[in-house]
Amino acid sequence: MISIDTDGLLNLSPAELITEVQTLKQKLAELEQSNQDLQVMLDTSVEHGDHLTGDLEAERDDLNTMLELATEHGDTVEDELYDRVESTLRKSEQQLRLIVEATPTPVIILRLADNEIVYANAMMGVLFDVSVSVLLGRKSIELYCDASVHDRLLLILATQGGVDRSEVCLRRHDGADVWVEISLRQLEFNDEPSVLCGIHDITHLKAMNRAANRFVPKEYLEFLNKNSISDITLGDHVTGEMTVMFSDLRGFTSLSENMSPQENFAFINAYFGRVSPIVREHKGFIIKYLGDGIHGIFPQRADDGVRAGIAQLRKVQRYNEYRVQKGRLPIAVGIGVNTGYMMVGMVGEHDRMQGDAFSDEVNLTARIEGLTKFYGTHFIISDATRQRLNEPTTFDIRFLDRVQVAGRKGTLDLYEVYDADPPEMRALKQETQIDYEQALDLYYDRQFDAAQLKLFGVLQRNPRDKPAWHHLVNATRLADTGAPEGWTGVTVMNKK
Amino acid sequence: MEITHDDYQVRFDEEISTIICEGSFRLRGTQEYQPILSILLGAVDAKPERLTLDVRELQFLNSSGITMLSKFILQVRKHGASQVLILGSKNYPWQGKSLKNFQRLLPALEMEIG
Repeated sequence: MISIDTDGLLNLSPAELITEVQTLKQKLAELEQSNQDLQVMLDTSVEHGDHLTGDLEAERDDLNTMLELATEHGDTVEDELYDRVESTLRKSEQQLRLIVEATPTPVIILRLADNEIVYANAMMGVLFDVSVSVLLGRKSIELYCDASVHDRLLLILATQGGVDRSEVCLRRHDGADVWVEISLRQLEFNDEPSVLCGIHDITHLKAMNRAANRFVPKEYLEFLNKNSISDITLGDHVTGEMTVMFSDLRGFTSLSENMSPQENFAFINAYFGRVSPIVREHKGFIIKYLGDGIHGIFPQRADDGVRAGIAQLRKVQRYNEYRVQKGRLPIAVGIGVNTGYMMVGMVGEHDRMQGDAFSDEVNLTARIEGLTKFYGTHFIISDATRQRLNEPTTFDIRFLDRVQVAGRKGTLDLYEVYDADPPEMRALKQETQIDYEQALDLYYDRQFDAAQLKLFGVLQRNPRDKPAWHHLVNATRLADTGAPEGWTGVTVMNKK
Repeated sequence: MEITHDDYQVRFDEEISTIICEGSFRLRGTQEYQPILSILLGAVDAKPERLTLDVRELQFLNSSGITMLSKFILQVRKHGASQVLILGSKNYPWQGKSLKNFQRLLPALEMEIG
């Protein structure tokens, strides 16, 4: 600051005033210089600021450009990847179609959301005997014979991730049933969750199996511990104690004499058709048919064989009612059942074999069945079978005779099963059973007169009791002549 | 200088002043790209008259990768010492589109997409 003391100037001399003026001039010059310097400084600062701003703007532009570059590049790469994924998907879908088209088995694809068929290959059309376009758009459930099977398979697919070779029945457009093995897998098809169904037609196989089962029943396969008839080989067998049954049509020869061959077949098949299922129903199986006879095996319990025999006889009674109604002659059946050790298996030659059972016990059973004619009864069992019955008291069984059959040492006790006798006869046999058995005890005790008397009593009440007559004849003869030396009471059967 | 990885390889051949990038650059963020950027910036610091960036065998480059290359281009511009040539390939469609954008950062950039 320049301050001038105006009052003081008045007291100065001229020389002093000149000096003062010069001093003031100098100070003014200094101030001007300072002012110029400040202006330069200001200009420099402004310029520097401008420069810095320019740099920052350039840097900002660069960053913007970099951001744009990165974004654009990101878009490019995304597009590229998307196209690549699309083309890969298209390719794999094309490949899937190619594979499925070339597969020689039927294939369909369902949309999971609504189970609509969205694809079917040519073989599926062949299987269903329709053009593929008929199948498209249909609901898969319509293909199944049983809708609940369809739902069950989809549930297994959802919970276990796949279904493998499940055996199901499909129904064609024309209503025909087709048996198939079906496998299911989940897949993406047309960008939608879908189900791939691979199908194998086993209708023919099923028919063949059904046909084969007629020759070798599935119970027999199970018995031989085989899964399929193709596993069976010559010599496959099972040994052990089993119950065997022979049943035979009485007087078939004389019946068939008046029939044409066609009538003969119709008759014998009508008879077998009625009685054969009874064997299966009682846990047995038919080893073979022997002319007009049936040879069955009951591997589990003696009771099964006895119950099956009773059921067969009852069936024949009903069949006879029908035959009589139609004006035909009634038929009669004899059944023998025995229990013992035997071998059951496949015999024959490699290219022609059949099931069979062997052992003395089997031969003996055939003889026992033959004795039904001799005694005038329908159903005889051996003592071995009787002893092995789990529920003997549930049957009507009485002692029949002690015999020795041809070609066999030792004696054999035979019993009569009369559950299936007509109700009246059955009631009379029940009523007289105690007397009848006491008579036989007396007979074997050589008290022939007493035995005779008892048997008279039995026959008075039941004159048609044929075994009682048989024993009465023997007792009467022995009462007259007395027992010969070495008499044991055994009936010796010389005839085979 | 060289980095070799299962997915990619980067090396600077000083004799021919060429940086060669091969494989797929799929690293995450600036930090993971730092070693590669160091090689690139080292090449710029060497101030060769001509510097070549050969990416013909670089199949894939993600967004962090393009940012790293941008930083390299900016460094070249800052030094102003080198003329840069980028060699690319039409085999990888992204190269045709993205590489030419570097000219926005460095107009003098030369490019050959073969």
